[in-house]
Amino acid sequence: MGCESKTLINDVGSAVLAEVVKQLSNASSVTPFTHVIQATDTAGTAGPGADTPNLPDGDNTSGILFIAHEDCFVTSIKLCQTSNELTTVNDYICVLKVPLPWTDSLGVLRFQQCGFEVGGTNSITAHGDAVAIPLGGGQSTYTVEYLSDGTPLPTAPATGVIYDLFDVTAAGGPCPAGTFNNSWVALDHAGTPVVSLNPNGILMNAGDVLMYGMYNSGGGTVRQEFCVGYAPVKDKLILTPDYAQLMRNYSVKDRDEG
Amino acid sequence: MHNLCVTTPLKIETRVKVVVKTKTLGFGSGARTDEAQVGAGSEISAEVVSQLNRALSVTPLMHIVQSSDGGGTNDGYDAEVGNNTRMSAVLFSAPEDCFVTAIRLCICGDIEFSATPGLPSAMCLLKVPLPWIDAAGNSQVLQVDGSDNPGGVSAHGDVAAVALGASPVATYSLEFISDNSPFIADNNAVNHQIFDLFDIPAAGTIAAGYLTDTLIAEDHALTNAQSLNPAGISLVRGDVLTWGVYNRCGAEIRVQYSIAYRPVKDELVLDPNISQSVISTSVDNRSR
Repeated sequence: MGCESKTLINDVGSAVLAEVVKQLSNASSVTPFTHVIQATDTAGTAGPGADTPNLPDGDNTSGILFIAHEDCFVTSIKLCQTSNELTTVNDYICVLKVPLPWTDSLGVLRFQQCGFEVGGTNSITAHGDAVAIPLGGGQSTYTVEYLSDGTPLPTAPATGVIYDLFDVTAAGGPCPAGTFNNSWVALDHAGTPVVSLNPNGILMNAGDVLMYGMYNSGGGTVRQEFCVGYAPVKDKLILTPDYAQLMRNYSVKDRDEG
Repeated sequence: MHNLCVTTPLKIETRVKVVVKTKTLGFGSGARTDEAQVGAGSEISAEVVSQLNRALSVTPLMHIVQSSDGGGTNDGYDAEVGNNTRMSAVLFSAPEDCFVTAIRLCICGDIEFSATPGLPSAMCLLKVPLPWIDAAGNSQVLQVDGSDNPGGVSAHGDVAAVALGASPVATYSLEFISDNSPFIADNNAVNHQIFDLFDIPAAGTIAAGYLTDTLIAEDHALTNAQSLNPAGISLVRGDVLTWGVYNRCGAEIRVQYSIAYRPVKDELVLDPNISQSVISTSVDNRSR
């Protein structure tokens, strides 16, 4: 695992050392709060195609939320749907973690790609499974970090609310087969159980990407904004004891010069 | 943090912060007995602290786009701010406590933003916690859709006709508001030039309702100019920076932005600022 929790025996430490370690453990960085934009025409079934934030009713879309250039730890995924809500039992949202390279469900080594060629010689190039098995199933080495229908997303008001996906417990029955077909999430997939994010965060190795997928069945075009928060320091350090002993004064005794 | 090598003079900056604190560490406390092992209270510790204090992250320079249809006069996902139109967006969201030290802007207009063919233009920046309390005392959640919610009480900023940031109840804070008169060459803020909003001395008085129907406010009263705190902006986990503009310069503008912040929460100050003391020696001339 790229990121670890390391407990250091603080036998040499001081309050200075403890404070430095604390600062390292609490450090955070964040990507800009910006619209999700479909990168290519083949990143979803969305009618408008590439270079648009619009997700029409009845379409899916996908894209990259985050690329880890070094091992790091994702602690926050802020999302916000605008224009229309994404809160019905038929809406779906998912987040995958895909390593570089990754192995698909058939055991074939793949490289991350933005786009794929439907029906061509390289047709199995999208992230996710290419055969009719659940997302994350088979021999695939990517992981489903989050998968839910729209019912647990904010509903009062339904649009315009910035929320953290880590705070949203996944709900709904298995995601129907084919919900994310022909997007970067998958060319094809079977029904897949819902998954909540690990509340402790997402461990990322250098090269991993976080990929999102959305399926809109809400009745109107949806746009979405997002930002990703992460700990720029690789590992979480824990000192035990949590801070050092205070300096102990030496005992004083008059010098006998007699 | 890699390959520690003390090759540069240590410089520990001092800033006044509210939430993100400056902590003075008793240097050497508990370290005296361990010097031989780790150099606690040594130049190594001083260098580590210095690196932490100067750690920096920055967002890419990119266009500000209106968050939603309800975020201003324009449509959502639109970078163009036409003449006599308002626009707003969230610039930054803090996943953990951090400290914003620079807000780079670049106004790309068909005319200088400082132009005043009629009434002046205005620019504003709010810090909004999660949740926040509006001027009517209602708890609100962060939103980027100003007008599409029940009751219309949805935008950041005041919902009553009081000056921005002046309500004793509202928990958001007015970080910056100014008319367009300081966006001039003297402040490096001419058309197509990247400048830092921290370098802009706010000026003028912003008329009531100038930023209504945006993420800044549903309504507000006359508001005096407010410059950014030159020491930076302390952000608590969940805080957002919400930006708004009212363009009356006579032509369309677009604005690019980049935000720099310190990923490390607090600033550490070592006292004393260097480590081991030189042990003095003297000849013992006392007779035995």
